Amino acid sequence: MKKHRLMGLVLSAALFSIFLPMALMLLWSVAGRWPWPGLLPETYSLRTIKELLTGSASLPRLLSSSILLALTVAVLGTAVGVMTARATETTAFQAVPWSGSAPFCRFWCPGPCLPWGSRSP
Amino acid sequence: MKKPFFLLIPFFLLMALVLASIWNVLTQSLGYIPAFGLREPTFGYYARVLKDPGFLSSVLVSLKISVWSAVISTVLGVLLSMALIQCGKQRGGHVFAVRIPVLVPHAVAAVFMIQIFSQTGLLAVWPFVLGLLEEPAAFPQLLFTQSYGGTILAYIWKEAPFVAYFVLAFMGGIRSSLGEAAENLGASPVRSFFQITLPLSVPVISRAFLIIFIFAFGGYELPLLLGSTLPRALSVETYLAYTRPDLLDRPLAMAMNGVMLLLSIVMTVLYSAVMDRVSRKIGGIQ
Repeated sequence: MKKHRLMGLVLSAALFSIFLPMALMLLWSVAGRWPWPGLLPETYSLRTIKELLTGSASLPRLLSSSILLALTVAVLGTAVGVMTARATETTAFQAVPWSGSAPFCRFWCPGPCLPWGSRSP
Repeated sequence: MKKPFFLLIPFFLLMALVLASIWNVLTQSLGYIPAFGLREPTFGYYARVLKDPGFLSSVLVSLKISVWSAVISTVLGVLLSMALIQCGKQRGGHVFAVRIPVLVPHAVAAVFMIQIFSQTGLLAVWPFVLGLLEEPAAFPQLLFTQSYGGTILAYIWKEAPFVAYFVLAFMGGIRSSLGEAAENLGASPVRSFFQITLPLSVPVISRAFLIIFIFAFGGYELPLLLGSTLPRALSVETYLAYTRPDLLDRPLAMAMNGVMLLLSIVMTVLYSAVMDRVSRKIGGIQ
């Protein structure tokens, strides 16, 4: 019982640390004036949100291209991942030494290698 | 299904793209870029990189960031996973909440860290209001310093939930079968966790560790946004070299990438070999 209470505390602390920065950012996004060391904004405003939606920042266009990109990657990545997982589950594949590590090869490659190496100089 | 190997074709095609990219990086790192009039392969760029005293500092910075963030994230992630299991929250809203930091972009995570840990951030405001701080500068500087504390904190914020999510299903499965069996036979929950669930989960935990370690080693957004000007992380140094206006410096950036690639492979192979042995010794499920 004591351990469950401790684990409950751990879980609550984790959720608090996950949501605190997001709540703070949400507050900042509607803050009009927030001088330091105020604990809360002095005034609130939707100016930045309006600017994002209708102003020169053109959020809808940026969002739609990001969503399209993310969807394409998620669909293709999931399809390839499921197929690879199915194949590597078979005994024939598992008999190959180090085969379990094969899907992790991608992680050897540092972040910049793929975009820089796949384009012409 | 008799011949499942055709299922691997898309994976191998993707791997071919990765290998082609690596090949391109390596040939360019040897100074072979015909488009720039560089046609004589040489190890000179590697020699320049390795002789640069700032380079070793960059390697050490990257290692520091990746080791600290991966170790702390793994410990916290396993603890969080255990908390989810013990509290019976393996599905639903709690797990969804734990997944959120994984989905948040690194640049946004950097803004979060600035909001909270900067000298005018949330953590500095409260002591100031309570009279414990005389001025913002009295709050310890965590961001943009050579300690790379802000970068490490941001990685922990993103990676600990990733570890928890990565190991949750596996640990939950062991806990509900073998762990509970041990408890029914008289073991305390703590003993059952440390002697049954944790040892059997080591292979999965070690894979999660490896992923976040290599990712933090090669990631450049967070060290760039939250790190100090000097010494820079290896990935930042590489990025800045790549974006220099002088295109003849391109092989230098690629040589840095080559060294980073080599270090990643060596660390992965060494780590995998060690963890394979450890898992076999303690009886982890492969």
